[in-house]
Amino acid sequence: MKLIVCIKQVPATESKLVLTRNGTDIERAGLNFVMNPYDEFAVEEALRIKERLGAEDVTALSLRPHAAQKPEEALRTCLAMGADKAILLSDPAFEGGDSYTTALVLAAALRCLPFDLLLFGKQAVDDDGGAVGIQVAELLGLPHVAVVNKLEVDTQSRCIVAHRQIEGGVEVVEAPLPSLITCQKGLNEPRYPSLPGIMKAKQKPLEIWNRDRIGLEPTAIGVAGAKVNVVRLESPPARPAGRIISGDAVAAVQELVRLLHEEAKVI
Amino acid sequence: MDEDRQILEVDILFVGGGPANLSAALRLTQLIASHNGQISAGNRSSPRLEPRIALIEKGHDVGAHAISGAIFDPIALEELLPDYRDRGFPFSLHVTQHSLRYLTTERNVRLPNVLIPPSYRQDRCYLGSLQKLNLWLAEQVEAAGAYLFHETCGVRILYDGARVCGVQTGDKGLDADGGRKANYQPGTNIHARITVFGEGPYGTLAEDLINRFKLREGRDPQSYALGVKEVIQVKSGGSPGLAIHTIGYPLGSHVFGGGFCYGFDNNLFAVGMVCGLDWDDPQMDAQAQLQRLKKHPFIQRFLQGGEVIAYGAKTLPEGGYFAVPRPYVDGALLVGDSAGLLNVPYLKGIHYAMKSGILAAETMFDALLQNDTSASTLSSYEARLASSYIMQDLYHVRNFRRAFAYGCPPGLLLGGLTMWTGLGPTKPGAVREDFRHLRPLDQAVRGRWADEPAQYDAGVLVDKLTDVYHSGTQHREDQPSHIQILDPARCVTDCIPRFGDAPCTYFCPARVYELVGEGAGRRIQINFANCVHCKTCVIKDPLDVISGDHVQNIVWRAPAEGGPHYQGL
Ligand SMILES: Cc1cc2nc3c(=O)[nH]c(=O)nc-3n(C[C@H](O)[C@H](O)[C@H](O)COP(=O)(O)OP(=O)(O)OC[C@H]3O[C@@H](n4cnc5c(N)ncnc54)[C@H](O)[C@@H]3O)c2cc1C
Ligand code: SF4
Repeated sequence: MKLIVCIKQVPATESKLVLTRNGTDIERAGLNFVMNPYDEFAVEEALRIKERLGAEDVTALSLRPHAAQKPEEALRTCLAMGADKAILLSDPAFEGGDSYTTALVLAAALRCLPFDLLLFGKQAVDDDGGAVGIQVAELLGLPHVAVVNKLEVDTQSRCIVAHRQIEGGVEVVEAPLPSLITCQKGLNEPRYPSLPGIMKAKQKPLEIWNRDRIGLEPTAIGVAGAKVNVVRLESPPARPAGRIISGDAVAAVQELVRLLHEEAKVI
Repeated sequence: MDEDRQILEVDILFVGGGPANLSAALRLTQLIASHNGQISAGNRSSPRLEPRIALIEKGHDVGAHAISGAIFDPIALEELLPDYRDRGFPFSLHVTQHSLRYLTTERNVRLPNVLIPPSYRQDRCYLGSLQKLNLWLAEQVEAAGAYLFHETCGVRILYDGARVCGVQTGDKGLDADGGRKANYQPGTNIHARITVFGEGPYGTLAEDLINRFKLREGRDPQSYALGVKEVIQVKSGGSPGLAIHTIGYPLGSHVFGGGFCYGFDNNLFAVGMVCGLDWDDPQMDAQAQLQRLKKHPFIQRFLQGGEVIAYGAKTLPEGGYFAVPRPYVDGALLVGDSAGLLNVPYLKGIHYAMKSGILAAETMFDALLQNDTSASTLSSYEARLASSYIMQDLYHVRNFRRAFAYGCPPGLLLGGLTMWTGLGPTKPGAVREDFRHLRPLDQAVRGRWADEPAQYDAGVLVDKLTDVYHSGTQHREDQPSHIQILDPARCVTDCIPRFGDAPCTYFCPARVYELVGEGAGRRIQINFANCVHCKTCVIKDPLDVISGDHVQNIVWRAPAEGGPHYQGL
């Protein structure tokens, strides 16, 4: 059984984001990037399946969305956790696209690779789109189950049983392999890379694939192929300074209620 | 618990990824490469050296816990990488306008440049962020074949008898009570022939080592300062190349220290304060002082309409010449701030950290050649330091910091004098640990600011918690606290009555300590997730003074996970 995990590198949640001059993107220079936290669940799940079922290998796949990003680092983390091999899709033509062009490029790469199960995070925490995994499934004609928080794999009957949290209950879905899932928090606790794991990761293969390798027209992908045009990004409004109401508790509460009513007008 | 630990064997282990250890690792790989090159060329007959070199850093990367000014003196870098400019060196901005100002509440007086000894002028220096320098050095180190482990914290020194033989890294995946979570990962025992501690000021392990081997015996206790710093983005009107140092306002005459304001490209400013931790006022709060500095008309005009985008805090070792510990034991060396190598009047430590790293590497190279890593071989490191410019400069300014024991204006005169002439006492002595200086509120000498609350405006003037947010610091809320108060009752029964307030709630620059509850329920709450790893609390914890029994109430150990995520500090 072969498993492929698709991961994205995103700005660390505590990063201070600054918009580019034209206001349609964020400045990436100097930002700290990490592996998308939902993708960590996907990597962990793949490794557990491998350990449990003796699957043949786990490959981590990523795409460089912008020249200033180094998804190599996130891929090395996957290798240090225990993945066997990593592939980075990197070409100026891939950059600046949307979820659709990302899915197109990933699907084209996946057509060149054997697999039984594809694992994605349920969404990337930077743009919160949550659409790439599902679009890849559509492009490849695969069954998919999104937002999975429990997974069983049956190699005998070649199918998966995936659990999804739904309003007030659990939905249990069965799908034949090959198929695709997107992973939700709760699925597992991602492991920490071990020091020997990090050392081994240095020797493991990390391939870089460009457009020629997967054969796509430049006009279909990247900025040229994007279906979504970002008009403008805005920072959330600045938080005004806090105010401390002093005095004894009874008077302070009365003053607080008055301020909430008269000034903030929330009650 | 120990049976499930993995063991990693290396030859040289560096603990801490600051400029000291990164330079040491780089120099060592250079020496080895050239040695092996000589052998291949047939010019040398000794065996090839192929040591395994590893470096561990607790931050997300070697830049994440890096905070400095930074005015960078390239003297050591020129020695380490003469062609650094062709290797993508990240700094290009030089100091173009430097001035030292004395601030009163409203005014400023420029101290003439002729008062500054020529070797202390900043003209040859770069302006840049330590984070970028570290990341760049790390690239060179990794390319040379050393292993860098991030998010890996040394928590315990491993001994083989009296000999240091490596460190244990922290256990990950523990819950708040120390129980194992599903992803529990026991720390690794890294065994090494030489372990180099470059943990910065007051290293958790470096101090363990110094205490165990009494490496400061016959020398002064180390004195420290707390540095707090913000990066401010203004919309226009940046001043790249500007470097202002201030003394006077807002610090009272009994706090040794001052402010700085540096101008960078892209309309960025770095503003900060460095305050000697021998302050006596239990309500002294460096972060609040920084807000006051920014409101001073002389500084304010640069920052108009700006916004704080980054914050950090860290201590600096200021004890100078007499407080430098013996920097070697069997199997281990101390470098950089962990060895107390910082020049106070010059306000610089990066170049000393790098130079000490270079000297440590030369010492280790000899030790590897001789196949002897005992104290007797490693002792040549101390001799190398002594004959280098580090100890020579430090000897020259050995009395600068001590002169300020007489308060600020006389200290300035005396300190300035000793800095020009190198005169004054030639022996250690008469220095008390910083925590011994705290005095009860009604006896402390306080600045004018004491009656003037700090003001915030959510733009350039921000409160402490907002600054903590800008440090990007994170610790899992369900991880074990890396900070302990051993006897919490004494905070309320001894400390507060003695000082008239809870000093830790002021001296901590990240609002980790908070006084909560009322009446009999009063207690200090530890918000450990806020911590920025500055080490002030272990240095300034005053319980020892109260009890006189040499116990500290606050215990701070470097945590296995988490910490600040500094950007551009
Ligand atoms: C506000 C401020 C302004 C300054 N301005 C200047 C200036 O303008 N010019 C100048 O030259 N110097 C300046 N300095 C001093 C300078 O920054 C230091 O001297 C220098 O950084 C020391 O380098 P180091 O390698 O010894 O330690 P550090 O830079 O402190 O690095 C130590 C590293 O070790 C890591 N570490 C610590 N403990 C462990 C552990 N147990 N396990 C794993 N990792 C660990 C830390 O996370 C850190 O990354 C300033 C300092 C401050 C605080
Ligand atoms: S808890 Fe201690 S080390 Fe952490 S920020 Fe506060 S003073 Fe510094």
